[in-house]
Amino acid sequence: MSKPSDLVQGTLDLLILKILALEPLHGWAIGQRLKQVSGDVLQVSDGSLYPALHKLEQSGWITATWKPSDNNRRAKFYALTRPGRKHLERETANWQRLATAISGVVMLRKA
Amino acid sequence: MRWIYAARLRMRSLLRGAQVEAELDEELRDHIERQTEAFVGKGMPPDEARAAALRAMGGVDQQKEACRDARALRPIEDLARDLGYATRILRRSPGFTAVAVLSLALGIGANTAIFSVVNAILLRPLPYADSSRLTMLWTDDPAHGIAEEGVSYPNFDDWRTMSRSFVDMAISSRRNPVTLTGELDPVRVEAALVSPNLFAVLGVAPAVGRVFAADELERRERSLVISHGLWTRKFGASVAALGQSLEVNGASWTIVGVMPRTFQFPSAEIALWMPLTSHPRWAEVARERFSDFGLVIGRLRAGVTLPEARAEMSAIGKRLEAVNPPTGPDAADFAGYGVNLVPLSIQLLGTQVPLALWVLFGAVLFVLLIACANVANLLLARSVARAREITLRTALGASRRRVLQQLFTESLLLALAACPVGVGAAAAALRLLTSLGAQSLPRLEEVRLDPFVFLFTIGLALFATVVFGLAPAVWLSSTSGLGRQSTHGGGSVRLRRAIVILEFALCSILLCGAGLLGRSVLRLQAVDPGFRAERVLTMRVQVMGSNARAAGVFSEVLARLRATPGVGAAGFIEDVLQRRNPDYSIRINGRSVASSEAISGDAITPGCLEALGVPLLRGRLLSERDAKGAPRVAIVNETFARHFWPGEDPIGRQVSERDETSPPITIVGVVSDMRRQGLERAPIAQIFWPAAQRPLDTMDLVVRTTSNPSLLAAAVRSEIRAVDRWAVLFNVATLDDRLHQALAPRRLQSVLLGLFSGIALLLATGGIYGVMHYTVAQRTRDIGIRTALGACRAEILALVLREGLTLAAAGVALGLAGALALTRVLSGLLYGVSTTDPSTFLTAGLILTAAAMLACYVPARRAARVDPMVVLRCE
Repeated sequence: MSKPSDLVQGTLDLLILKILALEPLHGWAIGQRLKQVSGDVLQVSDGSLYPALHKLEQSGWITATWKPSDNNRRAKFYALTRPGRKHLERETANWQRLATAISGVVMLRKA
Repeated sequence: MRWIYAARLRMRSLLRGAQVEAELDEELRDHIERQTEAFVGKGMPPDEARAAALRAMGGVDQQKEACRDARALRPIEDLARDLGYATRILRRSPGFTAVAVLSLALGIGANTAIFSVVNAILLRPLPYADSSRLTMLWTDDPAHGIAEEGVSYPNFDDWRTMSRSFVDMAISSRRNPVTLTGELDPVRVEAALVSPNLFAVLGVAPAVGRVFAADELERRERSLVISHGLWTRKFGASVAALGQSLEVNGASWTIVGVMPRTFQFPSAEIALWMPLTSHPRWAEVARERFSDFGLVIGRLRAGVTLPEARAEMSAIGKRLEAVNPPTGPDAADFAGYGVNLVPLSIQLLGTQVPLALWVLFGAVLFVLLIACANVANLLLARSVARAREITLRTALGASRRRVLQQLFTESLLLALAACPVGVGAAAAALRLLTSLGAQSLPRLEEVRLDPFVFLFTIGLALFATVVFGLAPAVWLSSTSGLGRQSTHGGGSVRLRRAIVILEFALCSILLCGAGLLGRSVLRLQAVDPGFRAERVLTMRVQVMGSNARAAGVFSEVLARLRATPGVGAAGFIEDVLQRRNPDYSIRINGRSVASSEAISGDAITPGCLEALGVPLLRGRLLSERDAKGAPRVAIVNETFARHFWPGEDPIGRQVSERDETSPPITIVGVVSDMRRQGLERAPIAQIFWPAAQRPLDTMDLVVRTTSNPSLLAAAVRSEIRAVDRWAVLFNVATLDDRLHQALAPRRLQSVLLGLFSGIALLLATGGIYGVMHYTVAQRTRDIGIRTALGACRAEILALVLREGLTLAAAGVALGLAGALALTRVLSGLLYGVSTTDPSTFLTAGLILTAAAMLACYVPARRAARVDPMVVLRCE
């Protein structure tokens, strides 16, 4: 599975979970949302999105249902599961700790 | 929690793979379309937009593959692929596959068959509720060396009230022959007189109707419970039988219940159960403390162990003896009685049956191991051809693990293919076995192939896969192996030789075991029973009415039979093969001796000992003059004479019946010993007195015939009917058959073990043939060069034979050493043969060597015929 080089391992998962925490979305919409929210800073190729989604689904963090979408086409909508929501909370906390620590270290060097 | 989602998905992708794939396809297509639309919206031409969308995706197929990886089903998909590949591989070499599958099927089938017997007889619980808590209670009589003597009713009653270790106890007579009268042809069946709680103690509900009520004895309603067999025979298994009356010994009884088919207590022959009070002398029996009424069964309380119960019961036995000391002239005889507890399962199966079954089970396991060794050998033989393919696979990036997995899948497929064949063979074998061994094994009718047996078979296949697949797979997949074998297969050949040695070792252990059992049977068949059993017809005859009337009928029958053509001699005897436990007590040398396992007495008529052909050693046999009212006489056997009057002439000695007022009985003759209880049992002291002086209503008729005894059965029957139309005739058989029936279990064991050894021998011989054949093929060049250099054919022949025989000899030596250690477990099954009988071992070794010689001769001859010119030209 190819991972974007500029994304920290696991970060993509966290972003997807965070986006899905707001509302269930289909794959393409998730990709669009990713680009929007990160203001194009995070380059997520379409190629790495689907394997990540499938992996999350297989892990039981998200679940998928086929529903009619805007243009009357059937689309696969992903939603957070209850364990997924808890997982997101844990991962968010982890991320914040990590970010604080790293930014602390980075500031220290600059100082 | 999240595992539920995960598991559901995995099941879905496993079971509905096509749909999951279609959805993946649809999902990605949807994405491309949306992206294309988005690009078009930004002003791109549609074609360009689509191409850009695809480009952004980075290859749809790569995406799909990555998503499939996410499903984490690789191992299973690999397995499916391996299975498909293995099927193709095996189909491509049908000869190899057939031989391997058949060898394994032979091993698996034999194991399945024997295991289903072991399962039914040893592993499956008895058909009683919580049967492990059921225990038989016997009177222990150490003074006479009898550990399992029947229990009297008063003792049973006291045990039951005094003991705390048992939930409850019940008593049952062994068997009381009764006659179902009231029909044209009276039928003789066995009844058991039981305490009403027997069914509750055993925890068995009736199939139909009810069992006895707790107050059945007080009710005196003449109710009886019948067996499933009688129900089917007499009433066509109709519920209407309930409430019907049955005439038993001339009295009318009401059927209240039917027991299930599996209920066979105290024995399989019992056709009806009657309350204790139906005993003709119940009032006396209920008071006789020093008598043998029947057997007692108890259900241990939960948490009470057998030793605890033993301790309690032996204390109770001592207390009872103190309270009720034996009185009367025979007091000394009854002193020191105790209580003996035997778990029901041990009581029913004994120790020989489980031992024999485990031995057979071990034997078939050996057969399976040999079959596995053979298949491993075949797999290794293919290794040269396979090695090239595996080198290629490794070169293309297959990991060692993947190669191993692939090879094991092939082995597994072979083993699984062998399962149905094996189970089919087992089913056929079981049908044969149940018909052969009907009289030899208890519970044999319960044997069947149930899910537990199938589970065992599958387990066996997996076990076999590891056993035969491991060595070839490891060897093939190892890189060092790949390097070596490409030219000569040196490592493979060494391994294959080791396997052949192992096969011969296992085979010689089996042959030794089979030989020892076979010799035991031969020894037993050669035992002189002390009488001439051939051409003797026997049948049991019961005459209705009084014993005195019976005596008249019997003597008239004998008078008629003597005039019947084809009859040599004829007489009646109380119990020709001593199947029942006669209850006698006589006084010898002023002291009382009770009948027991060491001494027995029989009433006989004149002509009986002549018909049996037992030699008269001293004195005379009985004659018509020894009638009622004449001086009382008796004949004893050698053992009796030796035991009571050692070194003296027994003729003229006197014994008497238990009560001292009865007239003395004078010994008038001594006959040689007879092994009437079976060929294995040493003869016991026996005394015979004239039936005329002590009449009985039921006796065995023995008729010595001048030709085939079976042909005379009809004539004898009609002679008896002519004298007494109402006489009941049963157990019509030749004495020879009855005597040898006792040998049936042994014969079955040795036949089975012999069969298994035969299979093992065949497999091992095939194994050594395969290896030698391969060795010769590998060394054609070497042999050709030798021949070219002047070696003669005999030398080449000897070279190959020597090599083969070295393997066989190594295996046989190893096997005989193993047998020396292992045949010890057989000691309980042998008769007249030591567990290390040298001639048996030697024979086994010779048979194996001869078989190996034969198997090596073919490849050796081929080697000797190698034309050096052909070989050199090939170079």
